[in-house]
Amino acid sequence: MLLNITSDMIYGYTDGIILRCLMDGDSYGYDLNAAILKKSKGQYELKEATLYTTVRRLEKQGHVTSYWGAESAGARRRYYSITDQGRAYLKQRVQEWNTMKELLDTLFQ
Amino acid sequence: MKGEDRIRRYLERAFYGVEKNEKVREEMEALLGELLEKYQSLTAQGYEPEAAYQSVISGIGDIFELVDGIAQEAQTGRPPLGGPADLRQTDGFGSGWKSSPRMLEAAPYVAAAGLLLLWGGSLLFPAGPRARALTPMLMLALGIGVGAAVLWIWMNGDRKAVRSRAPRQRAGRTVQAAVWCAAALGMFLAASRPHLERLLWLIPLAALAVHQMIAAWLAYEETKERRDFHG
Repeated sequence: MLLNITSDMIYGYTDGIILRCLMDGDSYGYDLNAAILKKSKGQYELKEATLYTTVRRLEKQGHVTSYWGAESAGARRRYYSITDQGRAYLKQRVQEWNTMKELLDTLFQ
Repeated sequence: MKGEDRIRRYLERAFYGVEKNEKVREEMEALLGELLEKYQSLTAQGYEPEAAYQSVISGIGDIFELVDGIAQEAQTGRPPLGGPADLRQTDGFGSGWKSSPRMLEAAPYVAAAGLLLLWGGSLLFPAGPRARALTPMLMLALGIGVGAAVLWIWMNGDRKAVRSRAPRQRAGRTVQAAVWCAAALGMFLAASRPHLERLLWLIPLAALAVHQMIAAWLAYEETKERRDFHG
């Protein structure tokens, strides 16, 4: 089932999803999205606008850095790289999620 | 048109009215690269060009969320959605008298209307000595002159918001201000010569007519631009 998960629920964790992808190595927008699509087995794909807005915010907050890579498809690629601060932030996000998951599990029981 | 070119064009349109400084150009290039790669990967998978294009465009999501963010960060002007670039600049910014450009632009109209009323009044109710009948008119000519000069200075000032107006708008409004300056000067001259006194009421009317012609031309060009924008 292809979930229509542009909903607020997962939206709030877009930054965590992107940071987690960058833990596996530097990447650029299209590649990030392809990885997310693959990892979710085709269930979830970010809108480019969401991806970009989030990455730009992460960069401003110092969680990622960016650099220009090789040219492809007629335009340069911009690669993103996670920083130590970003790693710490991701850890915190995962903890937040686990707490919330436990809480919801309890409440739904 | 090729799918790649359509995507390029789509981005150009989405960024319409955003000042293209280096930073914005870089953002556009990075985004374009992603979209083109996606498009090419889809066509490589066997998608028809049209289906691939539609898929890429709908996959972007709310592009204006992104464009506005970029424009804000690069501190460039951004028109309200679907509107031409220079609308925002007349909708108020900063503080003080400079924040009311609409009022400034309306000033010559108000002055001209008041002048006509007074002139009409002085015809209906002759007020004795000629000098006294002319005094309100001279005051109004002075008002128009000062208003037009201020408008002129404001239009050509170094303020960023003014600079980011479309050049055509700036030129058109500068000419309007100049017309009103000339009208004010003409009224002073006409008032000081008895045989020209009858022309006095013609001058603001002529200025108003020229002002309106320029306004109509600007509006026409703006409509044309908007039509091009929406394809």
